[in-house]
Amino acid sequence: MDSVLTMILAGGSPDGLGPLGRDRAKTAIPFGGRYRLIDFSLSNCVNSGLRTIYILTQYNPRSLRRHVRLGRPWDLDRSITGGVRVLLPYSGAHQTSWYRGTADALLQNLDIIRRSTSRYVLILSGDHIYKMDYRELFHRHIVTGARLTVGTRLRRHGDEHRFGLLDVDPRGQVVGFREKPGEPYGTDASMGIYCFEKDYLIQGLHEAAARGGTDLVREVVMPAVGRESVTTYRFDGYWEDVPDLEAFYRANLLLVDAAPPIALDDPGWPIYTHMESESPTWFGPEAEVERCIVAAGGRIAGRVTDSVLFPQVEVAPGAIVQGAVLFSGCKVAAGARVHRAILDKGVRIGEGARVVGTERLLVLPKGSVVPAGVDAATSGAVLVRGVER
Amino acid sequence: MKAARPYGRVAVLVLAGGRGERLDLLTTLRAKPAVPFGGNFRIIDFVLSNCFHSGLTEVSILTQYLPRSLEDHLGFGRDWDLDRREGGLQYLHPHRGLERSNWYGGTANALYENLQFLLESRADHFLILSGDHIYRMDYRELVAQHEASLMQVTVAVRPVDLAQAHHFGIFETDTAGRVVDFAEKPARPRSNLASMGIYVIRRQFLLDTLRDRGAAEPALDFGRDLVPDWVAQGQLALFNFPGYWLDVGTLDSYVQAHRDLLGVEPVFRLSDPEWPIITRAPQRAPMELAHGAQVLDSLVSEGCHIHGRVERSVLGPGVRVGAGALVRDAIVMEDTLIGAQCRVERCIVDKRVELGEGCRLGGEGAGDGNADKPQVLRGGFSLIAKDSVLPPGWTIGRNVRWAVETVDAAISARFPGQQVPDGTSCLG
Repeated sequence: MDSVLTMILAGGSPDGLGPLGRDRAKTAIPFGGRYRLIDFSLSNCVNSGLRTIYILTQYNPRSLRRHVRLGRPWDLDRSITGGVRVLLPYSGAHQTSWYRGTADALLQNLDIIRRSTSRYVLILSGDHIYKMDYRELFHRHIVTGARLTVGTRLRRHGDEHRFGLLDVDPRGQVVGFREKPGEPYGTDASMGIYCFEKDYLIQGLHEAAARGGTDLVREVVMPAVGRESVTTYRFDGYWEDVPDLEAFYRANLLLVDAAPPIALDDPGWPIYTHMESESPTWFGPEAEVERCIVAAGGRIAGRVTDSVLFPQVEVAPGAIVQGAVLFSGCKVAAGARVHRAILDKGVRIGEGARVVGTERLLVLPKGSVVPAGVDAATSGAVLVRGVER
Repeated sequence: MKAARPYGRVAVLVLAGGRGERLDLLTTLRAKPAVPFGGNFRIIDFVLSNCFHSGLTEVSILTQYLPRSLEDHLGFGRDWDLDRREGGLQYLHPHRGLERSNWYGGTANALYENLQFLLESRADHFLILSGDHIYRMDYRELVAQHEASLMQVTVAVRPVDLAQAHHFGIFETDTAGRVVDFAEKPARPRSNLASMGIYVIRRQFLLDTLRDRGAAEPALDFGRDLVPDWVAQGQLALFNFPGYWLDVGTLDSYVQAHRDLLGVEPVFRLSDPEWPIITRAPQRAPMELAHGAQVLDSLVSEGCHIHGRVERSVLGPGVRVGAGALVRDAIVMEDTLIGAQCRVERCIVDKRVELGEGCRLGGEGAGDGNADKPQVLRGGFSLIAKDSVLPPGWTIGRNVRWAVETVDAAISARFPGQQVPDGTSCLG
């Protein structure tokens, strides 16, 4: 896999994720008690033997950079070959601009692609939850001799509004590609995974730039269809692109199933992440905790069921947490009730307070405080520290 | 530019070479400081975390007995920010040289064998620590008092239960707090001020002492040989430490130290945001508490999968507790598998043990102690060594030592009815 250069497009907008995306890139959104979304793509890379990885981002990069650091958790802090780097737009001699689109982001870092000794470029999204062996996709790319291979999954109902759709002939050749057509089309939906022959990608990016185009799909991928050999690698495992809060919530709660669709604790395909030293979690003498994923450093003395708890969460005796996702450092005081809710980092729920979502999930932003006795769903008394509500 | 130090330069020497014989099967494969503790820690993490929080960055680890597991854990000290361009972590292991080729014969002798290293150090003070104590201490306070006192040596002390004082080095002071006497493990202690085995010594004084006595006394020991002299010479002051401190020298104290971590108001709180204990963090998924799990007054590490009931226990990373199993008053280390319907009571279960379905281990009450090692196991706890197995349906009594990687015909024949009676040792 040394012949593959990996570019992770991490600019995905966190628009659908409300307060969770306010201060962080979508890739840096916490997931599954311990992880950030980027961990899945990065771990897939490492588990697939990909060692040279660039992450292109520009939206609130601080939490992502802090998380990825120099790549040590993924064994990507390399001295001689490969490694991981976060690429932000920079001002230089020729041009100074934000990334205006995916193709533009790649174009602004064209020197990296051009200078690389790799013959192939794998382009990924950094905010999807899945376990995929990119070697299989790469293998298909090689044996079919295609210029471009697109990672896809079978098209489902509703995909027409959210994904690029592909019409694939029985030999696996892409014969048509429509971006979010708004009506059912073809057989497959694009996962935003592209394996290019490097020279072809460079040529495509130049052509796009000459036309003033900035989007990789519209300007490079779609024009290739019909003109060049474009093939697909169809993935049939669990894949979640987390478009909105409800999907985020559901993906978390799937982890507490008896047979979760994606196993976090799989020695054959570990998901790596940055970890701090943490003590074991203490469960109190009257704790009732079932069907939960719990990270370290917590103190859980109340009743917690069907929930995902990040590090250093505290649940006091007599508190009830049910079907909730609590990010790190959340504290739930005695007698409080949390149900169908997502609590961002460091949220404090006072004694006897109620945070109970209905059909609409309740999402409390980072650092919110629900004072004792207050009902967060109906009261305006939820205090949000540091940010405008 | 470097930040000004509140005091002179301090080099830390951590004594980590001891065998820890009284920890029995826990130290057959590793040095005592490398024994797992408190779920996901090793005993040495406490001292190294104290160094980190005290801003001490020159740390030497003196090893001798089975250093590999300790070295695997510490590496280059990166997790404690000790991988530095200057100072940082280093190991001082017995070695051969042109003039000397000696094993370490005593605590002070270990330093004497590294005299050249001490001479080359630019430290103004040497802080000498034991690698096998559980406590949180700001060494800056100790060193600051030491510097201000103008004494050559300062020893950290704390009050202990008078009934236990005969296990310690005991200082006697006059009404002004000056040290008047010291006795190592006295039969009739006249005070309860126990030495914690923590010494700050001025550079020149330590070098002179080692040069004077090192060559002639190959078993030179701080507590036995040097402290009494320093007391007599009036060179030694005490630093009173009021906090929690435990020397996990015996299985009893190892169990006690774990009990101290539990409860609503634990005697010693493992997680303290002001002073977190730092360890090499292995990559683990968060723990899973499945349908039917009940976890009460217990510490559980990441990577655990709990389907059964766990009470007053401490579980290391990756432990699996099967459905219907009961784990009570137990210490269970990394990656051990406890089969469904097992009952594990008052046991220390080392790493990667496999207990088949429906096994019963341990039980209430002290029993009569272990037949071979009554001094080691007498409280009723049973000890299951690393990588041991127990086939489904077997029973192990109290005060049992079990180190069996394969249950062969001979072992099966030795225990008819698959029952291992109280007090048995089986090191297969």
